[in-house]
This record gives sequence, structure tokens and C-alpha cells, in this order.
Amino acid sequence: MITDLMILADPMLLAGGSDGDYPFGVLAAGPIAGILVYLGIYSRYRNKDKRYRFESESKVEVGNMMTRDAKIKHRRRVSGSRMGGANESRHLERVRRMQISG
Amino acid sequence: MSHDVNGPGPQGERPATPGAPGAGPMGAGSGGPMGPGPGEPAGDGGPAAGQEPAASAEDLLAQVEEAAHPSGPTLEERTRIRKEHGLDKCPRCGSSDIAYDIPQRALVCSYCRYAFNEPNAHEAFGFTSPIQDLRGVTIGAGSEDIVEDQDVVTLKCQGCGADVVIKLEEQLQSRCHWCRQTLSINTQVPNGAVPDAVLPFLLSREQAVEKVKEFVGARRTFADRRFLRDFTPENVLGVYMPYLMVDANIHAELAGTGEDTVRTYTERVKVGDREETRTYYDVDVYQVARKFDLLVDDLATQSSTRYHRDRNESATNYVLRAIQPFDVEDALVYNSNYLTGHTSERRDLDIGDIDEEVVEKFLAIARARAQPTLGKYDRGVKWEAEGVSVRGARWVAVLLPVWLYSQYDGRLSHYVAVNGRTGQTMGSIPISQPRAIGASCLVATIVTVLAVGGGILSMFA
Repeated sequence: MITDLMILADPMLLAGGSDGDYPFGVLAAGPIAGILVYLGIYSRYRNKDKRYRFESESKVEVGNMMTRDAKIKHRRRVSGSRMGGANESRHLERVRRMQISG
Repeated sequence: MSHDVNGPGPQGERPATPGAPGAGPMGAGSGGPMGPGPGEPAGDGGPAAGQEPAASAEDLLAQVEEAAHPSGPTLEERTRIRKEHGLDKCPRCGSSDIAYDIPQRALVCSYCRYAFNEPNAHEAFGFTSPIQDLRGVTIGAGSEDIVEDQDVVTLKCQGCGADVVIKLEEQLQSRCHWCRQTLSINTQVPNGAVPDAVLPFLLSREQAVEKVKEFVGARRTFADRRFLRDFTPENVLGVYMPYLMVDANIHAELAGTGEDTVRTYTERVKVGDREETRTYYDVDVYQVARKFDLLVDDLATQSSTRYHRDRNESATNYVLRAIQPFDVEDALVYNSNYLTGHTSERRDLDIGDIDEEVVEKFLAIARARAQPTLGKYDRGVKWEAEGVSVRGARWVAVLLPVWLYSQYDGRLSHYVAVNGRTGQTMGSIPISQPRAIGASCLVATIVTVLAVGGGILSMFA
């Protein structure tokens, strides 16, 4: 989140739109920088986001990996460099649970 | 058998192991997603590495028979401490005044200075056997479901015959009020007080005080002034925290979609009265599935409501998550004397209470371990379904050492916690809102002035 706000706070980006957006970008840079400073202090003092990354650091052996990658369609003229809803690196977010055996 | 750390010397009486064979207990609440099941990985094409051949019906029957009538001692039997409650004597001189000495990393008799240790729990409990052989759920004697009316135990002192009452919520040792001998709770009472294993402190109180001072000292500027005035790092307490530790043999499956960029190009498009350059992508969309086995070793989960991150809103328990991991493979068979001089939190959560949390940890592990196989999908993968089945698991209750500094700010108990083995430190420091807001406003003002000034200058440039 902080990274997103930093991108927003970049005066170049804020001022990078049309001439009509320029005053808004200039005026927003200060408050956004202030919010970033407060969030930085909160994170360093309260440490709510710190945790042991058990999912990648626990002692775990992986075996019998079976992969299936079947092309189902081709899409043209897609905007955005990431697919919508990509969650492969958000390991703590749960999705629909399927019952499996074996 | 105790481990002599003095070189050759007398050995004390230690637990006998096997008892009568019988079916191993199943974890409480095991009817949920933790249900055991024999299995072979189901495949549907794609590359497979090291896949085992499907088990024959005879093999499966043999596994079921083995689970129902195990040939060796069960985990419950291996973890059951068979010493009598009461006097826990020095193997050399017979004194009951024994305490854990951090510099020597051993139990030391206060009279003859004999130093010894209990055996390594992993070896004593047979945890060196391969995790892939686990079938069904077995639990250690200290991990059994808690029985609520087991909070008071009356011991008969073997020194003088007096009856001594021990309230297990508060202590696991007491002195006989007549002969002053130390009496110990030596076997697992089903109230969560006595675990299967304990990981003793390596970090001394002085080292912990320094760690707490250093942590708070680096955060003085925006810390609440009352917190700093009342800050007394010498009040740090050595606490043994109860954890349930699991080894598990798991099968995991994930399903979703992934996208791979095949072409990137830019186009000029008209937006209103001006033109912009926009980037577009042509992508292939794939159905993605992963199936694999996981062997999880020593996954520890907090088993005390008071210190659980989601079960107590009045304290900053989340800091305890950040001081892990502990070297639980070095845990020793439980002995009350390791706890002397420290407090120990009683386990009040059963395996059934944390079952879902542990399954979610397994799912998170599965997702993390599948990630290296997704390199092809530069636009990402959206997992839409996931599941694990637990073929086998073994649970033991273990006490882990934490130096804990606590300070109440009228609303919340703020903790600074230090891992009693590694010194890893994490904490929550209450913030001085006037200072934090003041600093934020100052930065906001400076940035605004610079931005406006820069804008004005650029207009004249």
C-alpha cells in the first residue's frame, strides 16, 4: 500500500497529466507525503505487518509435483501488464476450498 | 535416560518407554479437513517427477491394519512421562533443588553442582522417522484434549508424607511446607499444563534486557511520552509459551488460470482533444493446475488464548509471530525444573481449536511452494480453488522460551518480545500522536511549498 501511495505521491506523475491536472497534482503532493510519513512511523513503531513467513521459511519438502497447463483461449488488445485478480504471491489469501482425496 | 553434561557420572532415573500397544489417539476435531486418508497422487497428465506407483489394495489394507494395530509403541506412549509426581531428585546427590542454568545450558543441582539434561525430544519421541511414512493422526500425551476440572493436584511428599496442594494454573512446582523439599508435577495431567517437550532459554535475562532497551531506544522520537517515562526494561519476564507442533504428510491441489504475454505493442489513441500512447498486450490464457505432496516438519502454532494473535484483542500478541522461528528440533523431553525461575503459560487450546488455522497454514505453504513452477506466466496466476488432504500427522505440545516486556497504555498491553533462543526481537511501541501528526504535517507543508514553488518557477521558465 505504501508503495502504491509513493507512486501516487511522485510529483512527476501527479503533474504528468494534462495542463488542467497540474494544480491538483501539485497540491496533492504535500498531503500524500504527510500521510506516507505517518504510515511509516506507525509501521516502524507498531510493527503490525511484521511476521514470520512460515509459508516459505518452514522446513518443507515438496515431492511428486504434477503440473497441468492447458491453453484455453487467446485474448488481444488487453491493457495492463498484470492479469486481473492475480494472487499467486498472496499466499495468505484463501480461495474456494476444494475437497480432495489422496 | 538423562544426558550427563559433566562427563562420566551417575545417571538419574528416566522414563521407561513402551507400554501396552493400542490404537493411537486421533486428534480432536479430526473429522474436519484434517481427516487422515491413505492416498496416491492423482495425475492428469503433465510432467511428473518421482511419482510413486499407485498403492495396491493389499498395501492399503496393510496400512489400515497397521494404523488400527500398530506394532510398536504409539506416539502417546512414547511421549508419556512415567515419572511419579513429587520429588524430582538430582541423579548424583538426591537433592530436589534443581534449576536450569542458562550459561551451562543444563539443569544444575544447587547442592552438588551436578549438571545434566533430559534427552532430545525428537529422538526420544521417534520423530526422526520419515514424515512420508506418517499415516493417520497421532498425538503426544501432552497434546491431549484439556479436561477442565484438573486444575488442582494433591501430592504426597515422599520426604515427610505431608499432603501438598499444587494449583496447576499458577505453578508446576511447590515446596513442601514441612520439610522444604521441592515437589514437581512430572507427568502430563490433561489440563494443558504439562507439555511433551520444552525448549530451554539460551538468552540470559541481562541479554534480553539489552535487546529490549535497544529496540525501544531506536524508537524514542515518536514514542508516547508516558510509555517512555514508565519504561522499565528490567521488568522483562521469562515466559514459556505453549505451542502445538505438527509434522504432516500432505497432498495439495491448486487450480486456477494464468496468462502469458505473447505480444506487446503500443498505439496512439485519441482521448478527448489530445493523443496518448497506450500499451496493449496479446495474451494466451491457460488453465493451470498443480498437484503435489508436502512433508511439513515442525510447524508450530500458538495454543494459548491469552497470547493467540486472533483471540485476544487487548494485547499486541501479533509481535510473537515475528520472533519465530524457534529451533524446535533441539527441544528436550519435559522436566519441570527447566521452568524454575520463569513463568509458563498453560495451554488452553486443543488441536481441534487450532485445526482450521493449521489447515490454512498448510494451504499457504502449498501456494508458496507452487510459485516456483509458475515462471511461464508473466502476467500472473489467479488461483481459484485449493485443497489439502492430510495423510498423516503427529502432534506434540512444546513450551517455547520468550522474554516478554509488557506495558499497559490504558487500552492495550504493548509487548516487546525477545526469542529466548535466537534473540530475535519485535515489539509494539505506543505512538505519541501529537509528535507523529506534527511531523507528518511538517513534511506535508515542506513538500507542498516545494511543489508549488517548483510549479511557479516552471511557469516562468
